[in-house]
Amino acid sequence: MKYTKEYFLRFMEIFAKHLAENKDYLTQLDAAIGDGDHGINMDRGAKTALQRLSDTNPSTPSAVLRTIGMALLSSVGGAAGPLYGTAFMKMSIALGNKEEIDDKELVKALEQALLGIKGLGKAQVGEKTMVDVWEPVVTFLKEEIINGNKELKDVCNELVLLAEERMKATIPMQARKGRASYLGERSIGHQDPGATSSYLFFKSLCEALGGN
Amino acid sequence: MLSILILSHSPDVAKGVKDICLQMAPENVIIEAIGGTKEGRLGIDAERVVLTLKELIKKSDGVIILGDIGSTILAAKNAIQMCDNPKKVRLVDSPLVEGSVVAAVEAYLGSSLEEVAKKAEEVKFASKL
Repeated sequence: MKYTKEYFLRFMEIFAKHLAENKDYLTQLDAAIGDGDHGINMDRGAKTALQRLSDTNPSTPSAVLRTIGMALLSSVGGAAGPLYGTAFMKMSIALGNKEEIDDKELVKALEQALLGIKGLGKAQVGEKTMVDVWEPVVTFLKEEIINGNKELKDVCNELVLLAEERMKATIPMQARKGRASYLGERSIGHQDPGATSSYLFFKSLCEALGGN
Repeated sequence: MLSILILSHSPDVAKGVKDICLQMAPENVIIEAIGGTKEGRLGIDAERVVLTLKELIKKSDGVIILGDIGSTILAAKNAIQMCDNPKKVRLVDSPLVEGSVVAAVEAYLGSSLEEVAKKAEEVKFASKL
């Protein structure tokens, strides 16, 4: 499949819809182990991104992703701003000036996003962060799409199930990064908000395939 | 001349730390502070951190950045990645208030970027009692 700027615009609309619908849920998760603003922050960030996309009408997939990244940096406020901001900026750089992206290029861009997130936050798998969803999902996509020559649409069911499973796997973990780490063992038993918004990110990537 | 960039999760903390620094280092150093979101709530405007850092790199010989909790450090690292000349920037691992004051005084006295960063980092081992 070819991914055009319309695909990435559709993705952002769907991601924003999920973030709006889950705003209170994400905030509750964050109130349990953080500062209780993840839902509000991500919802505001997504709305700012949609507004800037509509104002500037970027012409390539890379430009769409850069616009989203800068909007999140400016408006999310919490740690998720730089982390998601970097993820979108790294994807934007990886895609260059192409008007159409293929499945392998999309996965390589997601891999760069993961490297950007890890480089910034220094989190590893098992530390109760968004990396707990991103890393296994990117590994799965590399195996299926880059090595296995499949397309995203062929693996979406498995992908969403994997992301959900890894999100839920953060519940028994003890937080080692960010504000939740100040709680020590008391962070155990709560699902990580960043892993949850990351699940919504990957779900949105798949749902954006549906249109057109 | 060097710049000090103070980052806090709180607009009040950012302003307060800048005020303390200016009292001890009133000239010969540029001191900027960013705290809170665009709307003045707790958090950080990471885009403003990028733009301010780029500006400080242009108008000074080097920039020392200090932050308090989580998101400020991530915003600083992100800004360093996005600026043109990261060699002119030092992100210092130090308590925000004490580190900023030491950095401001050292810069005011004319120390080099390296010296200022080193002195500001040594603060984390200093005992107050």
